[in-house]
Amino acid sequence: MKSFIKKEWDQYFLTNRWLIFFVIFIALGIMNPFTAKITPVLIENMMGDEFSSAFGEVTAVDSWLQFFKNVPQLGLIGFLLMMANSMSKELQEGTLPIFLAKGLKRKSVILAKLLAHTMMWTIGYLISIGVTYLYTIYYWDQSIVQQLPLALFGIYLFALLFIFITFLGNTITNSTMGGLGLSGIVLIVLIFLNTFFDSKWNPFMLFNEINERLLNDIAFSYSEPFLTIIALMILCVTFAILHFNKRAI
Amino acid sequence: MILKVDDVSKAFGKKSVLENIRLTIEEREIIAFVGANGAGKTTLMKCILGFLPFKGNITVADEKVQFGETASNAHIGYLPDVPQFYAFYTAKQYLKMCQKVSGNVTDERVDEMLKLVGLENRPEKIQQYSRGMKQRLGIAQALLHKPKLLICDEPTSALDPEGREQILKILQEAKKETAILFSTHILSEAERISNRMIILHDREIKFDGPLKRKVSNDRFYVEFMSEVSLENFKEFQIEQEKEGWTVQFSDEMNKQAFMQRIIEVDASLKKFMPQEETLEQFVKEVTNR
Repeated sequence: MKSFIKKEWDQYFLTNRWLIFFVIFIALGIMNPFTAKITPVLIENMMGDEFSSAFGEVTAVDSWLQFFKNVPQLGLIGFLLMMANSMSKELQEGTLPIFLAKGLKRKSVILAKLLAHTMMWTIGYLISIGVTYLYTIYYWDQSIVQQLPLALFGIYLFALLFIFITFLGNTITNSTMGGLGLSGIVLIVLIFLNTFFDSKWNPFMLFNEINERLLNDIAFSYSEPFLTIIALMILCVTFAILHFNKRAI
Repeated sequence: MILKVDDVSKAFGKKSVLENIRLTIEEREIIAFVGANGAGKTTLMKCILGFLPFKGNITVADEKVQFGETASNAHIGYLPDVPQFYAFYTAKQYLKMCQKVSGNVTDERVDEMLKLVGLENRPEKIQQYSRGMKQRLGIAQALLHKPKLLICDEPTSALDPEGREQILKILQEAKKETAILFSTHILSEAERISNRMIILHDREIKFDGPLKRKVSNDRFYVEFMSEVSLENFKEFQIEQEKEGWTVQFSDEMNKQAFMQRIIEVDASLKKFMPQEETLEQFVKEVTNR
């Protein structure tokens, strides 16, 4: 499995994919505090002083709120588009059969790819957090922000779940659209459940009341959505391995 | 015995592709696997690799082949018809990756394989390789872990004559250490490097044996001492060649009539030799049986 993880790693770095990847996440990191800082100015210019003052003073919380808007949307969607064909491409191009014919275990392929995607997502996410943090403490007082590590970890896990779901969809359907489609369906179901049913187990609730959480206005139980996400991720890995083990090539 | 295919059948939906295939391959045999497009050659190879589900039993080096995950693949080297590589690697980097996947391969073996296929000291990435270079790299990766069986799916099909020649030389070298099963449409290649031919046709093995061509009893090559007009022999079935004629006799009477005519026109024979059946004719005859 190590050799295949190295190959995945090399694929990121020798094809300059890493460059696009890092540029996106650094840009997102810069964008969060920048957007928080510039939004009142833009509103003031467009709508006048009175309307702008209704928003109150910009704080570090606003910068992190931008993070929770931008990274799970732009960052995750970009990442999913980049990895959405990682299994189907290998099978369609025929690069994988040579290694399977050497006795490479099929589950090693699945695990290596998921591990490589997890590592890349983790690095990208940490870069974005780091840049946002540095830029935020430059302008504002960070000490008012509460529950940040748990909120960040929640969204990290949520994004990881969708990376796993996209990978599963791609493995089963052997198409890019299959991976993205499955993720889309699961997302719609989670949003629907979150809107109409009040369940503390729904992973989508990690997006609920972020503002209040960062200001420490409410108590929030993270363990249930975390457990749901971990269970769903284990299911994704298991189904992907079971399916790929019995796949005709 | 390196490979044993016992009563193997394969169907795609309701369409049967292979029926009750039986064959064995011994150590260091080199076998040409011949058959028309769609005859099932690639399908059988994929069954041996565990890439496709099948009915029956296959063992490679006494290890049972299972569909999906199969330990038997540790004994196999595989060269697909159009091998695809991780193009961001150089040949050496790629073989190093293969080395890690296979496990017990030394650095010296990597260098030996690069030398065998003439890709040592190539700093460029695989994406810049020609088709022939890719095919040679394909053989290097397939032989790297010293497999007991090398499976090559039409290894020369898309190559120019020079590229074909290089691959055939490498295969001839490789047969010193492994049994080889290679599919081909180019019968002259089959004849040149293999000692056994398997002809797959209409879902079955129609021929499995050494490459022997029959000497024809009714097809003769004829050359005369001096020029002889074809006009005098127009009732015979004759094909004109560079130096002489090829005559197809319908029966013994027809042959005697031809000899009689030679005497009548006062011609002197230089050569009168029974012709060997061509490999193409042999395959055609076998598949039409």
